[in-house]
Amino acid sequence: MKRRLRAWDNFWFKPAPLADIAFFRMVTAGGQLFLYLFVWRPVGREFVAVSEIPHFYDPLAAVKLFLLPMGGAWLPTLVSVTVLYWITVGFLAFAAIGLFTNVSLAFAAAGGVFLQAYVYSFGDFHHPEAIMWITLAFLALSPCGKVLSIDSLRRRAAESVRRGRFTPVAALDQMSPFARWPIRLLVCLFALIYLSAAYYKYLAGGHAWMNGYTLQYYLLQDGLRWNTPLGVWLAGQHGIALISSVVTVLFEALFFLVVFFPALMMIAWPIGFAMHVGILVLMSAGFFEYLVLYLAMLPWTSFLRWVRMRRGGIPRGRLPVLFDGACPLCLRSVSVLFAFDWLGRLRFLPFQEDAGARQAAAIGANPEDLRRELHVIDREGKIRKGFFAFRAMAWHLPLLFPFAPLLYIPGMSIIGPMVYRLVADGRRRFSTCKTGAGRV
Amino acid sequence: MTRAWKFAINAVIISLLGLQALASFGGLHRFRYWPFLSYPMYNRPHFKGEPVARHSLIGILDDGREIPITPADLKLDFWRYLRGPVRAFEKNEPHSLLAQLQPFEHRKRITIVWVRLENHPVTLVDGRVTDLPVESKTMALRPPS
Repeated sequence: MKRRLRAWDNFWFKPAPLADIAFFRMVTAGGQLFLYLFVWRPVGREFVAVSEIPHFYDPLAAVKLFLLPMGGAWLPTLVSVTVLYWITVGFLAFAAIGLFTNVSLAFAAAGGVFLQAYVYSFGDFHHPEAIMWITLAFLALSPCGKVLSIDSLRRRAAESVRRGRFTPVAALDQMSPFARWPIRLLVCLFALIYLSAAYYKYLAGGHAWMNGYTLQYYLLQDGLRWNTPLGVWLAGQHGIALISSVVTVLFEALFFLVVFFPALMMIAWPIGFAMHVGILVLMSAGFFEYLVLYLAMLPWTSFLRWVRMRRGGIPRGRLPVLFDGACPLCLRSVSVLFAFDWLGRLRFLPFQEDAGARQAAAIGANPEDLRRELHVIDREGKIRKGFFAFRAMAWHLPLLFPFAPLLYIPGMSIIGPMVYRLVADGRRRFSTCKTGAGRV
Repeated sequence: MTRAWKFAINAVIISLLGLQALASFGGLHRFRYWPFLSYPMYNRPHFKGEPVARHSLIGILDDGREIPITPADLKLDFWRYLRGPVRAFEKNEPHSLLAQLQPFEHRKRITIVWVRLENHPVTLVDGRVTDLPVESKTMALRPPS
């Protein structure tokens, strides 16, 4: 019994990188936000459509639960669901960037469950959204905002200032016993969902679903219904339909093995992803939420660690960033930059400490200059200061990388330093920093 | 704190897995407890040459004119059209069908007396889409005025 309990505990709570669950949160909340804004877009469409068929309204249990204070059967108005939609969008955005992470996730999940259940209370329902909202709800109980979030940035910056010292702790290397269970739980839910699909196919006709004609029938039906010529063409290809249907049923029936042998995900992931893309393209059935969740399950942390090891893991290969370690404002700025340095490409050195002082002496920078502006020594050994230091660093920070070319637009070399100075001076007035130097 | 939190998370894990397992294999109503659902969609097997049904509704007015009744006319999406008026027709429920058509009648200022359900089936013959003969059934919605 004890051994089983230990195995159970190990399965769910073996320490894992917090970054795993942080990337998971970014992809799921960000993906759902994207679907809300650009795919579902219920405002002016779905909400209006259901408001015109009140005779279909038969509230689902989730709607009744949320509306309990109003008696359970109250029909929400078009205005109220529209307002709730935009509030949910806001919470999703907050959850994606990690601002008040857990609270945002909880409210986003509550809003999303209510709105979807409300739409499905009008005589029609579909399957794709359910697992996404369950996932966002239980994610709210996880430490998914501990790293790679605005919350963690604020916490880290405040801590550096409080200690009066910058202590680098790489986001990708922090572990927690609570970082594993949400992704494992999602895999288990997927296993139950796929098993359900396989079970009902078997229940309806044994092995007959795999005869090839079944898939041809559905491809033809949906291809004609939604006008997808590729689906109609494929409906006429018995051989391909036969192989696809066998693969589909085997995948659905055996996906649960991934729960016990996680390495099998290497096989299951591409099959599952291809299956959902195929359903979307050929049958116009958009299981977008599944695609987002599949993307969220990718091992982003391992990938970034691998890139970091290959390209920036050797300390000598990192760009030295010299800053004023006695300035709270600089400590805060450096903490923020460090949080974005997922690949470990930058080496932050307060010039007052040994390594920093040596580096400063090597480039001939005097303390007065270093107090005024952040200094970066680039790959060619050139010294970049202030705005130009920030521009050099942007190429090495994955989140800022896409914006780096914008910093080279003609005129930026004049405007950039002015803005840098303006912000630094402005901050100097409101902070305890004597120079306002390291503001980035 | 960690132990208490672990206990709480364990309770959440067991509850969610339990609910989904129950829903997955038919232990819950198939949609009333959304987001906990079963997944039986597209589960029926089909066989060689089986026709694919394509339904449409036609309204016959008291003056004998015929008008098509599309999902857009009823302000329904495709699925609600199938699960609403088409299903009501197939289950021979004229009262339910009439209730669903009345908003359309009021908007158009018409009176539908009869409804015809047409099926324009197709099938695959040697991998090619082939039309089959049209089938139709008519139901009296209300006595002619």
